[in-house]
Amino acid sequence: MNNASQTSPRSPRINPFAFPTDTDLRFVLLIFSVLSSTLFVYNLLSADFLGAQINIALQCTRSVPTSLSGDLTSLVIIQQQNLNTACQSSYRYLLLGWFIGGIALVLLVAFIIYLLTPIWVLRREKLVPISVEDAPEVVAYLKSLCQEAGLSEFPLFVWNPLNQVSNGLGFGSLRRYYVMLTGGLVTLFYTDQPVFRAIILHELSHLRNADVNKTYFTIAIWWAFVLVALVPLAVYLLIRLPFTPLLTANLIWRVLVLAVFVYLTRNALLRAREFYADLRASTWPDVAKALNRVLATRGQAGKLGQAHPSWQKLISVHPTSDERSLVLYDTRRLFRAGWWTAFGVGFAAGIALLPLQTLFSLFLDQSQIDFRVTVMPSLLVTVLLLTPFIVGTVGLDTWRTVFLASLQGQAPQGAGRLGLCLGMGIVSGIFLSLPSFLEGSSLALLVDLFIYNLPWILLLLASLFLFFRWIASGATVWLLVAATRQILHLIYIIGLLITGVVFIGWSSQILQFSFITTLVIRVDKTDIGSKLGYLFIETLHEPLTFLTLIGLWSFPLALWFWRNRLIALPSRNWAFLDVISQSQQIPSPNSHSLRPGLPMKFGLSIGLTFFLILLLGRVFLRLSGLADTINNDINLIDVFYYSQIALTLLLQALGAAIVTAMTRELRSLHGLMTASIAGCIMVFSILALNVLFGGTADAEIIWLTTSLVLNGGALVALLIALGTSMLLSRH
Amino acid sequence: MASADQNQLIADLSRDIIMSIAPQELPLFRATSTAYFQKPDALFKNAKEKDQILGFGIGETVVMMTPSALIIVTQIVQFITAELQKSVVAESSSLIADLVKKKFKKFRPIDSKSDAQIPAPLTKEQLVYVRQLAYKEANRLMRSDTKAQVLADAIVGSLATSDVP
Repeated sequence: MNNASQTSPRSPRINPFAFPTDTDLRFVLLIFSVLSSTLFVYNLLSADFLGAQINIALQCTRSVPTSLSGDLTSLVIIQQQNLNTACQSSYRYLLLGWFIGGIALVLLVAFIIYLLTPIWVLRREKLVPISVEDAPEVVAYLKSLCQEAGLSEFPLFVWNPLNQVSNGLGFGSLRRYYVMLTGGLVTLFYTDQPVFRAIILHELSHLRNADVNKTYFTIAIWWAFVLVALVPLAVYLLIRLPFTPLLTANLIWRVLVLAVFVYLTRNALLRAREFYADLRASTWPDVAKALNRVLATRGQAGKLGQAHPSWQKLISVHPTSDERSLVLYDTRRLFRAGWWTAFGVGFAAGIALLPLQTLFSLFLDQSQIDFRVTVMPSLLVTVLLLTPFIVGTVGLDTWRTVFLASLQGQAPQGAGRLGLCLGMGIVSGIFLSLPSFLEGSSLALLVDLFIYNLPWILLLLASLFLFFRWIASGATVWLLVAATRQILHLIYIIGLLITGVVFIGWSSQILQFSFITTLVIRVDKTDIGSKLGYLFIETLHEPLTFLTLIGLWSFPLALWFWRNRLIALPSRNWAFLDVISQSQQIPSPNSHSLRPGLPMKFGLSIGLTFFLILLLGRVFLRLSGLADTINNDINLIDVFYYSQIALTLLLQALGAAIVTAMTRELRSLHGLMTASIAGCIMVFSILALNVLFGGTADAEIIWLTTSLVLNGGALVALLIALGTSMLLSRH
Repeated sequence: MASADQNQLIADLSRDIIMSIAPQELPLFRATSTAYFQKPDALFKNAKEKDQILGFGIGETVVMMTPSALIIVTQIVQFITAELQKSVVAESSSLIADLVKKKFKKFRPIDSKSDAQIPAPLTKEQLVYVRQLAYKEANRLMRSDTKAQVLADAIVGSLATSDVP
């Protein structure tokens, strides 16, 4: 990629630009954090600004019973809910407009600040274009550096000769970029040209890395958030005094947490970009040494090198010189799993979850009398909206972690913990944005919410742990075919898309259970178990569950089709920032341990075995005359039908356990695939034999059988395969 | 002395001094001196501009000689003017300005001993005073003893002395 290897005697540095950088991930996180927090604040403000409409809407709700209580017929409920919907219509659109308006206002103000910032910097720093008359050699040299940096458009170099601090700054907006030089920096041109060159190339690297827009929009959106969300809220609380002191304090700490969260995210982004600018600059000849020298000097002399407490590092917008020097020669630090980023992503998503779900529920959950789908449409849309953000950040971080591990010849570490951090962030965010804090001192309700939701919280954490380990497994195998950076990009984009679908399917189901639990304990706590059991059965029938379970094994194992193109990652030039020598290259892997043939064979065998068993059973029933007895008793028909289903689940679990034990890599996914293959044949067996023996197979029974056997079997097989895999790993 | 003339004198003298002791600052000289003559008091405020938090990093402050040289040369020129005014009270300001210039080697005719119009060089006491003044100011402005000494010596060196032809 570059010539830095000429200057670096150490092992080749891993290319941090192979994937989107931390700057990109944190930028996405920041934007989302600001928007989530704005939504939270505007949700609070709506209580006052839309107070009259809320009262009218509440009266609408009180005028009709909910679908979860009372003994009205479905028709009456639907009619009354339609009236309710019409009554609340104006409020819904007003609320939607209010939320969208708040977010749009933050973005608009941010954009204006972003546009005005360069003008403000030029004035504040008293900057003027550096002219040929002033310093002809410097101007010529700057031009040559721009060419060397490969910039398509050269920035305008401006300076303040009176500023004695030797510093540079890249700034600008909308493709109009500037690089500021100080008098102190220009002096370096004459006294220490390598350092001058390193600092200028560092600033030009910000342009190459497309940092400038991100940086100044970051600053702008922070101030926009303060001006448009925090200040109005503070004014509202101070002037209107809408709540009791206790409730106000309860509100203030939540808003403060949000503000600190956004602020820390902003600073984390500003810190991250410096590493990447240093690294980009270090790819040009002799820059790494000069950068290291200037960082070492400043580390000893300046604030950058002082040992700061952790909290000071968090609020700093610059990494320390020591950190920068370390990363300059060891880029592995940039690939380590970002626990806090994962937590932050979850936190931002958690904050947005309830307001978004509430908003969508006003439009999507009306006219529903089915208990199962009371919250699913709005929840699904909410998860759909949040998934690109979650998967695009934490998922990508997982890929980067795997990339590092693969280059080091190690198994990926920490992917599961990333999922846990994400999950804890989601739970924390939901807790912070709980609307129930406005419901006064209902501590009992909060306790109920916590206790009844605890199983779902634990399930969410466990499933996210496994889910991110699954992403890591997929990434590990698919990185082997990334011959070029273009192919790599294609692979991880497709991988993340599939991941997204699986995530939507899985997380929306878990959240549905949690939301229904919350809904149930607010309305009617009796017989929660059977209500949730019914919900679970219904979940099995959803096509999304089917897609999710198929996606789990098909994505990683599909690599088998490209098995002849596997190349060891450490032999790819694009994977390193420095040119790697032939002696450092690693030969292609001769074999791979994916064995989709095994699940195919076992799945077919188990399926056919089931077919034979069922065929023999049916023949026996027919010959013995028991078939007529069964056909004449609806209960016996059910027993017979569900016995077949139970047998399919048992055989699928057995097949999954055997295949899991027989494979070395992606064990549980091989097991899951076995269950799915076997399940397909079993479904065919049940339906075909039913028709052959005089029964029917309408669409309803086809889907019921398919979903029960395939989804139910896959779920059981997944649990068994995971258990088997864990047991085998221990031994 | 007319202000423009005096400024020109200060600029010329300062540039010579900078050329000899800090040539790397010459590209900055024009901009620095222009800013100085526009707002003499603001020069050091600007020179110690706070660092840009989004820049390369917390940059070192390079101790530049030019602003200090301009300020000190101004004070020296004012001192010499005052000294000359004491002895030639009746003379016009333009003549005094001319005499001030000739106190410096740069503007002193080579054959100065034979010309009655050429003022006598500074006395030893005056030179000691100028050195002290320059060193004290330079040390205050630059907070560097070494640089203050270099600048003070260069300023004294630019003045005409009796053993110089």
